[in-house]
Amino acid sequence: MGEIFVVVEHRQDRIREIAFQMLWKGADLCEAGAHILNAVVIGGGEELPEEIRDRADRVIAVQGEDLATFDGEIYAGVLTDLLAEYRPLLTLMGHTPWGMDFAPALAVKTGLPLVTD
Amino acid sequence: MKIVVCVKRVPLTQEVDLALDPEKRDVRKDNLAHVINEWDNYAVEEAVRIKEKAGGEVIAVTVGREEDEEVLRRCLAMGADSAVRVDPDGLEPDAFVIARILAEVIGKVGYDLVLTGVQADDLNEGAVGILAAEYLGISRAAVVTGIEPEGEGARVRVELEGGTDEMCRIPFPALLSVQTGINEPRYVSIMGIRKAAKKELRVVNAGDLGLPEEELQARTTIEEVFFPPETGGAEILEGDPSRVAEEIIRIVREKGVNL
Repeated sequence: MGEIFVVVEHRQDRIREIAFQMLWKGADLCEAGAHILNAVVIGGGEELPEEIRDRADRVIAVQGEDLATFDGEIYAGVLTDLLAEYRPLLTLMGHTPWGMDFAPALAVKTGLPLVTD
Repeated sequence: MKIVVCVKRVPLTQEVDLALDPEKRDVRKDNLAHVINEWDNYAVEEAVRIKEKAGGEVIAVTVGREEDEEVLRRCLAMGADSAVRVDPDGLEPDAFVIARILAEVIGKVGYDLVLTGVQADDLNEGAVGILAAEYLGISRAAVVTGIEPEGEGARVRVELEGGTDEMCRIPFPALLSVQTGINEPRYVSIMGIRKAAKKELRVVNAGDLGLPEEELQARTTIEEVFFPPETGGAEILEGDPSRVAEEIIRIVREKGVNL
């Protein structure tokens, strides 16, 4: 049993469709392996974590002035800390302009392997 | 301004019947034509345009074997000043290893700006550029559709989803992964490639870069390559085009679309 992370993508304070798809897949994998599903929300509006509360076992929300809008370098830094703390066995991110900007950076920072597209 | 542009030679796979190699680890490439990766072609054009406007130098880099030098010759014909081929030296590099090697070579060459394509047409990973930026420890932006140098950096247009763009300022040194359509790449003639033959093309071996062994270990390996399974649900309409058109309209209406 372990943790699975889904990084919740949002734009202009709205959750993007890709996040719901990943949460569905994450739940599927958690059920198969008895893992814990974590929805990770960095930045965005204060009400975003509430919107996905029912779709994950745990919502990890990180908020702050610098995090309001997407910045690949800052977000990768926050996620690096979270990955060190929770040590999820799998982290899902969208293969979108968002994910393409910071998933590879995150892989280098953490030393983890990466599969895209 | 010193601009390094990273390129890859890829097999041309459109409108070709692809076959797998006997081990099913890759597509058979010996019978395929090879070209410069489409995204990289735009990156080279953009690098040369920035140089033509602001002055400086363009260096094209690839990680590949001797036959891959043809794409470097093409870059030189487009206006790059010199080129470097890094021979993998028996390594079977994945995106991480390629990015690590590129970062090492780019760091040694020196740069203000590094351009790559968003992704390569063969593996579609879309990772090497940003990985290299992280290894270099510099600012970066992915999926770039416009670059305007300005002071010690650039104003950069980034493509988001659904037709939305974002404008941001990025300080140099920086790495930008370039999207197709950012410009119109110039035509390269055989004559142009011949003329550029005198330009410098250096070869270095990956093994001679002094990188620690563990950084040259692939983190991902391909176990099997296969064709997507065929699924049902497709209806092929054949015959007279006007009848086909009528049939399409009927089906679309039946599915509830208002035309």
